[in-house]
Amino acid sequence: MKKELRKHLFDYLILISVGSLFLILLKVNQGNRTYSFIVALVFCMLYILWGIYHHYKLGSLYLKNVVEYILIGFTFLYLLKIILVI
Amino acid sequence: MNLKKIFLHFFTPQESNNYKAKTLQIDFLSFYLMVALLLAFTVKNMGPYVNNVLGFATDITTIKLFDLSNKEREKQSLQPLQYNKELAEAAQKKAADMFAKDYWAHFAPDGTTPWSFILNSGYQYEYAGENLAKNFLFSQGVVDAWMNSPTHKENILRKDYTEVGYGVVNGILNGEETTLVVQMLGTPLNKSLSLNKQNEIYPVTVSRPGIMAKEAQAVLGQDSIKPKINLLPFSVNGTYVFIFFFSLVLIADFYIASKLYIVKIGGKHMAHLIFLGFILLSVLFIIKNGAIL
Repeated sequence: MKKELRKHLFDYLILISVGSLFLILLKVNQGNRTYSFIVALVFCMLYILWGIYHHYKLGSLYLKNVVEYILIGFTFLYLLKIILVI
Repeated sequence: MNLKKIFLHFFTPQESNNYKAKTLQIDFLSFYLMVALLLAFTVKNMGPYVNNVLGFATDITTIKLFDLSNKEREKQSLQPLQYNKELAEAAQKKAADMFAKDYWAHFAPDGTTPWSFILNSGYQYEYAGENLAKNFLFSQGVVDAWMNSPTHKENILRKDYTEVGYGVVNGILNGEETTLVVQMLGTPLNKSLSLNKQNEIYPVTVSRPGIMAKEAQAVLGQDSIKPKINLLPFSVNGTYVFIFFFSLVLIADFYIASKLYIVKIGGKHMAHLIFLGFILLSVLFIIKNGAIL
């Protein structure tokens, strides 16, 4: 895992920065469910875009990869939706 | 296939699963999404029928709030608060007023004060205070948030208070389905003491000389109806378990594949783990909690 992180440090830093921003934005307006869901949706979309960008850069951009990011992203988005009671 | 082979087929990269744990493959990922969609649909549309009878899918009850607040007082060797139905009525009316006038504050836009709800319910107080919370999922979260705020904590642990009432009301606030929690704390008027008291107003606490003494009623609120079935704790705990399970399989698949030098087409496990980590942090520390005032 360390090897993978070191190899693509810039890409993972982008993902970690997006994730940190996601937490900060949630905290700023904590308790507003609709806002929280929109922030989570944007985070999910950025995660999928990150996957596309990363695999495009590596030359391994296949439909199967994109579908994997979409399925994982939306599964957890819907789990958050349940917790947010929206 | 024996059990061990089945286990390895589902959770580790093998020749039988084309060197990717079966539970991480597209068909299983699609299944997870379908389950999440089904759960989201059930909670959204069946919520009022299978969740808390008070309304939306929250697990907040006055009994739990009452017990948890008293536990906090017991920790500080303070007398437990007695439940008062007039304070509970005032709390419910305050919550209903916030929905009716669409505000989230101790003081209504038209100037109505927290203590006017208390007096209108027939409770004559020597001291009174109010704590508010909205959009929490669990009673524990509400009390924890209050205890983490110095002013709210001071209200709960104030020695002067002897009685409490709660209002847990659902409605639409600022266009959003919301569960409001109002905690009204009070001390019934004692004439002999009131002669020496001055008016004091705090952000969430008010005290003033009362008019008449009134006997405290230690009746636990009748609005605390236990939910029939509550999907919410199941959903939240299920999310934790699923994140844990999914992370474990990702780590195992990543570790074994790298040990065996397997190169495969697919998303990056490291990216999935980072994504899951942020989702877990958001649920644990932010989304599960609401706002207090």
